[in-house]
Amino acid sequence: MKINKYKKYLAFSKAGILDGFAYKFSALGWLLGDLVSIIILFYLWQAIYQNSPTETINGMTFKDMIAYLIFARVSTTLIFSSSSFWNIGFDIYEGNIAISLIRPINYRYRLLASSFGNFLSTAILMFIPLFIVSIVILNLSLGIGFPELAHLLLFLVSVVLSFVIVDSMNFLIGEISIFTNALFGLMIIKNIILSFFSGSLLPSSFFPDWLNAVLRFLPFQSMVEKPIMILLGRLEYMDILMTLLIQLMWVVILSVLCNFSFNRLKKHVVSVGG
Amino acid sequence: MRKYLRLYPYYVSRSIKARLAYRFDAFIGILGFLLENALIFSTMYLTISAIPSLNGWDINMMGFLYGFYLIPKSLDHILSDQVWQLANGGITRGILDKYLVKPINPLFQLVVEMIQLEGIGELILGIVFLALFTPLVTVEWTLMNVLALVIVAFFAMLFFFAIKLIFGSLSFWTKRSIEVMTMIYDFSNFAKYPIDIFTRAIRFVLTYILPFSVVIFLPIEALLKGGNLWLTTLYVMIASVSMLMVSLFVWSRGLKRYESAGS
Repeated sequence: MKINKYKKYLAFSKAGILDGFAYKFSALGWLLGDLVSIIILFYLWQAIYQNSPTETINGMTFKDMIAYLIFARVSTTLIFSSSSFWNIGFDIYEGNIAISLIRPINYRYRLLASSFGNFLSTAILMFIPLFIVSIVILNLSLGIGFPELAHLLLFLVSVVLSFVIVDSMNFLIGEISIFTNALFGLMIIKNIILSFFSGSLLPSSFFPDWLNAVLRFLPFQSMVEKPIMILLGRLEYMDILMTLLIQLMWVVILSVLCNFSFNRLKKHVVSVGG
Repeated sequence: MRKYLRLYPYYVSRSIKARLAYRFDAFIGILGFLLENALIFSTMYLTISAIPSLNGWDINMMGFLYGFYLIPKSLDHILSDQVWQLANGGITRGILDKYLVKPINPLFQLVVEMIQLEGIGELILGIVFLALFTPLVTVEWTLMNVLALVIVAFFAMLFFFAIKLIFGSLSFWTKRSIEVMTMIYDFSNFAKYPIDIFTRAIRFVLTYILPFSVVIFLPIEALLKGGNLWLTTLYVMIASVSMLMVSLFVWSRGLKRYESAGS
């Protein structure tokens, strides 16, 4: 009985994986786009460190910075691979949401399951190849050492938690589309806010103090910055444990929020749709 | 020509009315592009503020450059966003068919199909940046300087349009070209930085192959560093007009192919 309960969600994960693979040529195209921004980043930061009077900027050397930014860029593709935003957006837009309500499945977990399928296909198609290439190139060009196995494994655990946090945020923001059809505009707002505050564009040591004080109470830094810091071995094991616990806390809080807000939304759907 | 000038305001007002039927949606779109550029600039600001200057460019000059970059980009975004639909599988969906049955230039119809209000977000931010950073950079403002910048902005806008049209028209052959179009369009991001921070190969591309730096960066460098602004304006015009000619050529070849293959 218990197995059956999970099995029905597994079908959605499988569909998510197949969906991801269906667009593999697109994925390759977007990969090239990422390459452009990585090239810009590299030369920009090289120039920045050449122009800096000191060897380190905000506690990071050139090598630290490049390793951070490249791993952040590569991991962001995986962490942000959730499809829940579009799924809930289209379901609301096309009215499928009403049909979803009569199915004997929790809608929130169904979307999470199909997002997870996307996560796996992104991991296989983009993340793993890019990650390996990055490690090798960083090692050959800048002599940056390979990540330790323990750090790598803890990083992966942290990334999965990050992914669930991002997926919940996507779900919550996707729910806003009940008020507006501007999914593209919403996506842009969501993506830039998540990228900026999660440290995907710049580590938080560059942020002003007041901003960091605020961010400490928000889930953003658990999304990208913390996993990367684990990977680069910049956190002690106690801090890693703490980080994972905080991530887990956000997973729980956001999951409750998702279910709660979706129940509210359901009533709204019923009242307008009937 | 006169016919098109008369038709243009009619199409534009129709498109704006259509978009404003969903005011909140339009607002979200405008806010999205405004916020995106504001946070990208914040990233740049936090980065450049950590050092005295980037190869002689301090943060005020970089802000001025960023503001200027947004002007032609946003104008093109507002006026010709429909070109993206070519690349996004529009040709297989047959979006061109309805243009071909009317006695009006299909490219004209494609461009005027939609006024993209989202671009206003970028335009507002560009104006705000120029207003903020103009007093902070040392420029000798003359009427001629301002005139040159207006001409540069106009031709740079055409340049953005031409780049979009070339890579959107690729879809006549490949069915879908949005990924490569996005990548090429993203090359414009290079133009937000001083060109000499890049390696020789990239500089070559940005000067002769995809001359984004020629149409954005060089005029601003001439303005801020006391170069020959009118000479760079001439370069901008040459780059834009040649790119425009290439784009019209690719478009018309593609369209011929489409007409003979379809229907």
